[in-house]
Amino acid sequence: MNDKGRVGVVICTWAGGNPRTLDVNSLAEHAKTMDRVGPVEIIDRICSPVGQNKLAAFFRSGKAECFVIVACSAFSKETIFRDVARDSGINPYMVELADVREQSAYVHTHDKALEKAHLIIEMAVARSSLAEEAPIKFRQLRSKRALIIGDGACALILATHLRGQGIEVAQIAEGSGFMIPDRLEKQRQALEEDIKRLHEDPGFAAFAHSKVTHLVGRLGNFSALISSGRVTHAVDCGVIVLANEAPANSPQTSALAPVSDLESILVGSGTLPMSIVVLAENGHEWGVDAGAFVRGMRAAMDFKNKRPNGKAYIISRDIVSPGRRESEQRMAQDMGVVFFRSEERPRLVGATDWVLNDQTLGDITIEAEAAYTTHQAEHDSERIAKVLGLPLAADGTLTTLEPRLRPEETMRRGIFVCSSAFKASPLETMVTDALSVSSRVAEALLGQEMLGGIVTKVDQEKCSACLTCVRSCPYSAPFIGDKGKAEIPIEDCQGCGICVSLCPSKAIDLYHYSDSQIGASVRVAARGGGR
Amino acid sequence: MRIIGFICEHAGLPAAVLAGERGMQYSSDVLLVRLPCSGRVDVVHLLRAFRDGADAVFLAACLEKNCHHIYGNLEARKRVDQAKRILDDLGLDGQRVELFNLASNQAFKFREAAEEMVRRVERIGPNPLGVRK
Amino acid sequence: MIIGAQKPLNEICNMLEGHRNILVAGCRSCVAICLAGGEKEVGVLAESLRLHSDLRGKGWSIEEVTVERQCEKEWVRAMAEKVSDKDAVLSIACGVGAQTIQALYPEARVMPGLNTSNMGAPEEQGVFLEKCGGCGDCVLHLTGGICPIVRCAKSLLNGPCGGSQNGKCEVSPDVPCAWDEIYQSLKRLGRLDMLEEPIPPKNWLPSRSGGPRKIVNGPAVFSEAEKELRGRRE
Repeated sequence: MNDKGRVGVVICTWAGGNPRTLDVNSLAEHAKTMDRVGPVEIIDRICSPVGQNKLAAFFRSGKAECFVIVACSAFSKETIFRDVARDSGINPYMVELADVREQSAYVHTHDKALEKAHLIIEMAVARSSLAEEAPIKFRQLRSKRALIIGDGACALILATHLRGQGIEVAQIAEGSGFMIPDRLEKQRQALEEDIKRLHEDPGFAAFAHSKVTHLVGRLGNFSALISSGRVTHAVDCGVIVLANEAPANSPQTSALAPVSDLESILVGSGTLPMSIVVLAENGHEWGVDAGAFVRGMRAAMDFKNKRPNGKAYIISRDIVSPGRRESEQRMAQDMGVVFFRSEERPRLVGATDWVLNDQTLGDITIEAEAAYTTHQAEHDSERIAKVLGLPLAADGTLTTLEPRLRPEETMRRGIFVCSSAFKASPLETMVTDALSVSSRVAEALLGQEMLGGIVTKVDQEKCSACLTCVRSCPYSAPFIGDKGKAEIPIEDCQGCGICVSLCPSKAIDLYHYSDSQIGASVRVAARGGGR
Repeated sequence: MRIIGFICEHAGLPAAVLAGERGMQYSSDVLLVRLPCSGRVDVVHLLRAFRDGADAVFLAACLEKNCHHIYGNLEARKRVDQAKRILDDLGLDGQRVELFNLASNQAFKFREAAEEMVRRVERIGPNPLGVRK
Repeated sequence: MIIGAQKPLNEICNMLEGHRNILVAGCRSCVAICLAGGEKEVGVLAESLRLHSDLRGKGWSIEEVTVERQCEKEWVRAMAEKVSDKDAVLSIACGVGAQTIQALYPEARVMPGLNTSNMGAPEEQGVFLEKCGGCGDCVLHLTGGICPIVRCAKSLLNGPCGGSQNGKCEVSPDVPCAWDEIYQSLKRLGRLDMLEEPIPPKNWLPSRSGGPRKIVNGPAVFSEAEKELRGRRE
């Protein structure tokens, strides 16, 4: 327990805002008056390389055992500061961040901002003085094999890229093997050559007519049960990638067929209608995205190629043809494909008439022999999500870790997702997605893993073995061990603290967010500072 | 006035920071306590805040069905409901504690939460225990 | 295990009226597991009482203690220092724990913060169902593993009453009819023949109706003479 250590306070020159509204010198002066505070220093731009060196020197000075960094918003800089701490021989969780800029300087008028900034620093000092060295360990991964669930073009491209990086690949296909959809007819030959190369590659293994039925373990150490009819295999792998494509024939209303039907006719099977209308939509309340729009557009263009006198209409909420596709869309228009934009979904009247309100032309009725939609039913995401232990968002889609910055990662470390697969995106999107995922996978597999930090600590003497933590953990991390008491391996704990809040015998606490730390900062905040 | 806001790592914190980046003004009587997940909150933390003189306490957690830790926000809801019942039993008024669900980019919802609690304190009155030292 | 639930806060506050130095005592055993009286609940209750005291200017001083099992003398003795200066000990262990404290600290004013209810088991986290009637003469082998004493509202021993409807007890549509469950269980076990032999009228002496029970485990007990030989350890 850190109850004697001095707290070292470092204040970034930009903590007071940019432009500066708070004087960091006055923050420093106030910090010096606080209980337990030892050295106080102001460093210019702590996150810059020069600033980081000065921070490292401060950590190494030996004048303090735990630290508060007074700066701007926490999460974007925290990993940097923790790395510097680690490199300086300080446990990274002995470092506390006080966000004075976004929580004070930018949001309050000067005097109030200053008073609150003092409080924010005091709260951080109170937390810091109760900090404990969180357990951290490094671990080599036991398996570096990538398990790909999926059999479409995306899975194929991904498998090729991963093999190209020397990563062993096992593929789980629901069907007989890789299937190239009709919409990629032009690229079929090249893709089939890729398939052939993979099957001749000793580093590639395929499980046809199979499904994953059970998964245990973690990044670098997964064990998946694969059911192939009557046979079950246990496959060890380091990472798992979800790349399943939606089934080609999704159930639709009788009036609308899936656009994959049109794509099949276009590659040769069946009679082509005289006129078509394609609803370019992504299934989210008449919404549309680039993938859906481009797919619809390309199908319409292929139709016009085959039947130049046929009528092809595309209706969507917006025109979504970014980048190079703008010229593609111009080409489509030149070919005679007609584009309509409608705020509301068009209605079918009778057997062949579609009524819509176009944003430029007003109310229109179109007659078309056949109607298609680019929307596909979600693939069996619910079942897969359950087997893999992944949460689904409110609309039933898979939640990714951070939609903008980390769209390839699911909520479970070690499980990645190629979302363009189930969106049936254009080929170029799938290639980009697969490249992105394969680099994330390689990053995850080729390094050591740092585990621990904000994890739980179980006091087995207090544990009643009541099973509350075992039942409540979203990650199934706790278990009752040989001693008949709860154990929570740091490899599995994700630091949410749910079990800490629930444990009836107060046997569990959380590093960096301990009861005493939270209590101390609440006390300082509620009492308005001072004791 | 003193209002404590517990903000969770994946929704409340980014929303509060975004509010800061946008210069959205809210009462400086609101002080924020960061949590790894709203599910970490303990009823004792909530009650203790009042014993220490807080007038109101709120939690800013992930949107329902979208908790980063899958259902931490459900647990948080239960803790808040428990605290409300105890506050009502004690005559302190359960309205003083509340849970708000928001997404990480909903800075406006964060500010609304803070302002709602300020309004409640103005309506119900300050903590009868006053400022504690 | 023993299942109990905390008394309402207001009832507890009324009980504590007129006292000042209060010890809230919990247990890590059954009551912790049924989420009523473990260290966590001790903390929440203590905090609530402190707030109550501060709000009404009662000047209460509240301390907390939780022991491994509040029914064991050794553990309760270890609480001595904490009990010494208190004018009330609020036990939120089961009735056994509360009485053990009282027995070991005759001068202490012990109060129950928990309503001890029954012997039961968790159906799921937070939901506890009564299972065993503590009748002292178990017939589970005759009833397919289902207790007719306490799971049947009438403690019938030979089949359901006329109020059993669609497998539910007439007491409440949520309560299964124990005899329906017994029948189903014996059927699954292929032992419906158990129902052909009636269970005779119960001897209630071994149950609560026979007075407070004492069970002596022969081999574990030393006679007075043997205690002399062993040397007193009390």
